Amino acid sequence: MDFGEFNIHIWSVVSITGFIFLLLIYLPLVKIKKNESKIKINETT
Amino acid sequence: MIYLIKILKKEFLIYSRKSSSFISPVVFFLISISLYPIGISNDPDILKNLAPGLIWITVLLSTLISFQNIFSEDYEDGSIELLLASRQNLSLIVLIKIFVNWIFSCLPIIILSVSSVFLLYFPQEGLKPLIISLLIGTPTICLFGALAGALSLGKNSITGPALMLPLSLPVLILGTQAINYSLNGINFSSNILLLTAILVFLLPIILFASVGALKLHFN
Amino acid sequence: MFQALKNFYHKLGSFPWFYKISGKVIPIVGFFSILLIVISSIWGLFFSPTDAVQGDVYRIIYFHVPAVSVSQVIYYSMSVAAAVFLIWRMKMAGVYIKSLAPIGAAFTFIGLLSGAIWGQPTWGTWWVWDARLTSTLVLFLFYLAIIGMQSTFASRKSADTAVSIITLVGVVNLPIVKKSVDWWNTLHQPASISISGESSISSEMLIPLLLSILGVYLFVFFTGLLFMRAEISSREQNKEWFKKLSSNN
Repeated sequence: MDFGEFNIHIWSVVSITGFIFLLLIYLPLVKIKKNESKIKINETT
Repeated sequence: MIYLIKILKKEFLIYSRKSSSFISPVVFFLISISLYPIGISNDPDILKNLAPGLIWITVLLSTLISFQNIFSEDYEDGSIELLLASRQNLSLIVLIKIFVNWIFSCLPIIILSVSSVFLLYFPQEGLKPLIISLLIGTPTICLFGALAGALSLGKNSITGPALMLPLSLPVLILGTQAINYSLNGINFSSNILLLTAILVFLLPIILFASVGALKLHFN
Repeated sequence: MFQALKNFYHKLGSFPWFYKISGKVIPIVGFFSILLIVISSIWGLFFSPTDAVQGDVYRIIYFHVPAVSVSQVIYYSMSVAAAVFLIWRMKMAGVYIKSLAPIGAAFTFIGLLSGAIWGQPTWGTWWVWDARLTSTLVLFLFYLAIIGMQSTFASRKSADTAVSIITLVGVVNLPIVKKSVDWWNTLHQPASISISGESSISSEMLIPLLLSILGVYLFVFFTGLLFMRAEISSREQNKEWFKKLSSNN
């Protein structure tokens, strides 16, 4: 693909796909972090 | 066997005494059928083409009103728990419940759908496939309704309809297609046979699944 | 051989074992899947040749095809897990279904959306009530019903059983939906628009496509493990092994 031209169709697909991929990684990671840290707080208190 | 007949009689009694169980789907059907000409167009040609789909969709939506009735009352007064505790064959009892629910909520609508001849200018030649496809298609929808009702017992959530409507898609397609075929002079018996096949194929599966779903509420 | 397989199956049902192993596997799988996706995307977007008929827009294929294909595979794998859950009451199968449902829904959504964005410039329409699109939409609705069902039950076991029942009923119904939409389609519109145009694809386009498919499958494996780990961590919060594990970290 020519670097100079901007194809809105392709890039909207790329950005939405990328966003959903990041979300799929981010959401479970946050949940794991939260659950593991809950235990630690309980132990220190 | 005697036990089953007793349950059948009891179900009939319950439904016939609670008039709202069969009046509300009928009222819903009549209201929506008379709204279509006002909302879309009063042109007979347009309505004639849309009528098969409109009738089928309205029937499908009016079952949404009644599918909660199949188990909800028995759930609230605790009789389902007793049935589960008894050693009777539960899937037969569920089948009886679905059958009675069909008679009271779907059969009146099917008879009333004849009114579409003058309300929606539905051609009279199409009445035969309309009635036949509704008679064979609606039991399948009631089956899905029973499963959705069993799963969403005691909860007023959208999950029941959300589960039921995508499942009913094949019935809707085949039912309206049968009517359209016959209006265009094509033999529609294959669609009716397919609808029957779907009903026969899904009947044991859905009964089994509904019984499993009912048991979930009493762990 | 059979004994080893049986052992593996029993281990698979154990939450502590899974939690330990997945912690080691996740970084490796994640690294390779992201690497593959980045390579195939760059290759597909910039270095593969332009399509003679469609022009550059065809490059959406590198995102559309993997998403659609994986969304169906996820549903079938979930139905296998549902059967395992209903027959053997394996708790891990319930975790699997619950974790994979949002991933499947996300990929079905990507497939539908990229298909719409691809269809707009090539056929001049965002949406066609074509057999494949309709059955993918129904698949999406099934995923939503499964996700919605999770929250309606108070007990975890009941929710897992309910979801397994829905998944199995859905997998019985999906072929019927697909066939009936096929029949319906033939009456309503000529089959002039068909999406199956990949039969004569050149190898320069095929290799990045295969790479992207492989990358997305690995990615599903990766995020599936992540979601399962998250689910286990919230289900087993009060168990002894989990407390020990997290205090060691």
